[in-house]
Amino acid sequence: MPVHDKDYWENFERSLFLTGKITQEAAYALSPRIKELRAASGDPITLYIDSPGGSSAVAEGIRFLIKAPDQDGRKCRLITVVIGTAASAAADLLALGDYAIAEPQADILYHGSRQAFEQLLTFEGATSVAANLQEANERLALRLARSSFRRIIWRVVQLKDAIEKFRDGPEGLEELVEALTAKFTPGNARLLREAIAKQKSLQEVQTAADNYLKKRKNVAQWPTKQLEPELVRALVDYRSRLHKEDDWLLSRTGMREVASDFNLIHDYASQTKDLDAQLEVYGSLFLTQAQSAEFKSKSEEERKVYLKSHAADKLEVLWYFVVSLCRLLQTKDYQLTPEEAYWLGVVDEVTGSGLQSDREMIEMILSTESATRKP
Amino acid sequence: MLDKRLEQEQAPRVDERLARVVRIIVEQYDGDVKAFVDSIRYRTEVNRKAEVASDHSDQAPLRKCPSTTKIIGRISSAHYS
Repeated sequence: MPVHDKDYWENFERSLFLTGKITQEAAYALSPRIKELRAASGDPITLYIDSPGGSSAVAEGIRFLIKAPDQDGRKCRLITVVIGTAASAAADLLALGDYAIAEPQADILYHGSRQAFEQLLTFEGATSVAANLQEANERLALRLARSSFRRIIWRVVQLKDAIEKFRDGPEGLEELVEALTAKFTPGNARLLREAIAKQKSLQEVQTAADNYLKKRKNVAQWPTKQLEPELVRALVDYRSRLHKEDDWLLSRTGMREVASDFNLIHDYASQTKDLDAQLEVYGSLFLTQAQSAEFKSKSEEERKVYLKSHAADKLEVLWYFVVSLCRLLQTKDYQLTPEEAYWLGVVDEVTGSGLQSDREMIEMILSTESATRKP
Repeated sequence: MLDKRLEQEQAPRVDERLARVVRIIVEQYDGDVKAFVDSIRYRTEVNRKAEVASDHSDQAPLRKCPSTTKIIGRISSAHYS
C-alpha cells in the first residue's frame, strides 16, 4: 500500500494563494487566513504562487507568519507551489519553502534587488542605495544557498560518471558542474560556468586569509575583536598582491573589494555549523567505493570522524559553488524552466516530470517499512 | 531590512527521514542513488500491478465494503457528537 507523507504534498484544504504583486496589502489580505489555518492544526500549509514579485521584506513577512512558532513553540511546515509565474521575490519565496513544487507550465525568474524612486537622488543617496541593494543581494543569496544546498546534493549524486570523479577528490567539481550544465539551455548553462569561476576566486580568498592567519600564534584562541582587524589586514595583503601590476588603491575601489571579501568570509564562517550537520547526513554519499567499505565497518562515533577527514573537503567546495551560484542568481536576469529550477536546487519536485524527489524517496522507504511490519 | 531571526530560522534542519534514505542508499546500494530509485520504482510498479490484478478478482467487492466496526463508528459519532 503506498504511503502518503503529508509533509511532502500540497494540500488544497490548508492553502493560500499569493497571486499578483507582493505588496503590504496582499500580506494584510492573507494574514487572517494564515492565522486561521495555524489555529486549526499544525499540519503543513500550502502556498500557491503566481506572482511577478514585489517586496522581499513583505514576502519574508508572509513566510515568517506561516512558519513562526506559536505560544506552545510549534512551528508549521511550508509547502510552496508555483502554478504560474514566480519572479524575483516570489521566486525566492518559492525556493525558501520547506518543500517546493513546480508545476510543468510554471516560469521561474530571478534578478537582483531593485528599488524604484519617485524623487531625485543625490550622490550620497545613490551610494547608500547601492550599498543597501548589494547587502540585500548578498543576504538573499546566502539564504537561497542554505535552502538549495540539500537539493543540489541530491541532484549531483544523480550524475553517475561525474560524481564518481568528484568522490575521488574536490578537484572533480569542474567536471561535475559540466555534467550538470547538460540539463540547461545554453543561456542558463553560462550561469553554472560563471559560478565555477566565482567559486574558485571565493576559495582563493579563503585560502589566502587562512595562510596569512596561520602565521599568527594561537589564532584559534583569539577573541573576535582581535581576529577581525587581522582578517582585514590579511585581505588587504591579498588584494594588493593580486593587483600588484595595477594602479590599485584602497581609496579607489580597493576598500570596497576588501569589504566585500570580508563579508564573504564572515558569512561563510557563520555557515560552518550548518555544514557540519549536512556532512553528518550526506557526507557518506561522497565517499569512493573503497572509502565507503571502510566507513561501513566503523562505529557511529568513528563514522563522524571519518566523514570529517574524507568527505568534508568535497562538501565544502560544493558549498562554495552553491553560494557562488546563488550570488549570481541575485545579480542578473535568469528565466528558468521548472526542470532547470529543479536541477539548480530551487525546487524539490516538478509535477509529472518523473524526476526523482525527496517525497518519492521518503515514501518508498516508509511503504517498504510498513510492508515489512505487516504480519 | 531582512530580519536576522529569519535567517537563523532558515538554517537547514537535518531531516531524519532523509538521513534514513541516505543510510539505506549507502548500506544497501553502495551509494548509487539511481540504482536505489530504479529498484524501488520497479518494486512499486510490481505492487501496483498486483493490486490492480487482485481488484478484478471475486473478492474485490468485499474488500471495498467498509468494515462493520467502521460503519458502527460512523453511526455512533453521528448520534453522539
